Amino acid sequence: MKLPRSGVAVVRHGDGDAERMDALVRRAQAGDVDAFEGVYRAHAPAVFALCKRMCGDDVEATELVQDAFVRAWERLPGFRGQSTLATWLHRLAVNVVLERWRSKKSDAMRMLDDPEGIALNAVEQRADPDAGMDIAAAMTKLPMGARTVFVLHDIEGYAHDEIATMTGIAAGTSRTQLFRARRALARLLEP
Amino acid sequence: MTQAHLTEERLQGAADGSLDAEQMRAVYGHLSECESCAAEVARLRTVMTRAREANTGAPALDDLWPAIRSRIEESKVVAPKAFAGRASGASARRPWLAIGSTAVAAALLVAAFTQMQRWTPHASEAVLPSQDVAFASAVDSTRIYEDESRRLLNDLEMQKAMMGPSASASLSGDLAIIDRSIAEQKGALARDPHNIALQRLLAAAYREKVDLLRRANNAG
Repeated sequence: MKLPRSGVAVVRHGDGDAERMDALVRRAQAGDVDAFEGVYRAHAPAVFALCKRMCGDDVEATELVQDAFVRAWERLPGFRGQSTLATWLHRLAVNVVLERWRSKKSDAMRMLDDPEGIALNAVEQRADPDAGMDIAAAMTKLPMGARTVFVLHDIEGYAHDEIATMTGIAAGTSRTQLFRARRALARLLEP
Repeated sequence: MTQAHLTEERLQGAADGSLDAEQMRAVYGHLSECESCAAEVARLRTVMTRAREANTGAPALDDLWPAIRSRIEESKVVAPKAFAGRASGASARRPWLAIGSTAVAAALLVAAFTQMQRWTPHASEAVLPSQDVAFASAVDSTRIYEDESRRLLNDLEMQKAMMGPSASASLSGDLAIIDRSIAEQKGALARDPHNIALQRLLAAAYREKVDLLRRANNAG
């Protein structure tokens, strides 16, 4: 059983809503696409937020949301309710994002394994200390790998071991990347 | 100041609450006397809090649905009926004797709880606004594990008749340890309802109970 993630806590339901959502999931598992639309409408904003934070781009994030929900439809029969649906969907979306990066052999995957923080050093050196920026803008300045670790750990609530499993980097590297990402963000946020 | 400045690992751990109880106590003792380290921890917490609260500005997501629906129907992917699975393959392979490890884990939980009680004021200080979401998740975890353990206990009633006396006694003993831990943590939470460390310990105790019950059900 997986722990619910901090990042998915935004999707909370009262008892009635939870029962309604359970019913939608059961119908969708039986092949009812209309029911799946209800699942999509309830969870798409949180899944979009996750994708946007990871990739930093609206257009790519909307593409990833589509891929994630098509994948969710395919995998829904395997959802047994051992985690919350939101947790399950977020894990699935994270995998969709990482698979896309792997398939493109993008810099993000190389930057994930950057224990010396070379990419982060470059970001910090480019930053204008007088600029000060909001957190969303600051996060887009991080290298994709460091941003990924930061989002997965500090927003989605994954442990370093889990991040290591998902991304293929060592848990120690994940920890180092996280520390440096936080430091870089703190510097970018300074007025 | 009680010692030299905190290491990077301790500063970061204090900021995200990942330190264990003993480390947390030492770190908070230092932070109460060291303005420099306290400011660093606050700075890191600000980053985490602002990141969690940042608005990502969702576009019109309803507009995406037709394309998703089209892809689903074009691919002719029709989900087969869901099946209810009770035990994972890994847990099903675990031998009955593995239950003993749960008793050890439960005993450790009791020890951790006892340790925490010695410095409850410090634990309460650790609950910060930036941890609200994490606290809600811990509450959510507790509820899920509690529901699951209740369901597994019902299942176990049918298995008990088939257990040998020694296995049954061993299981009852392990359950009693965990239930004692749960009861103590619930009592402590009633006195300090926003203590995230206690909430996490409670969730961990329920998780141990779920693991134990699953192994017992599978062994039966």
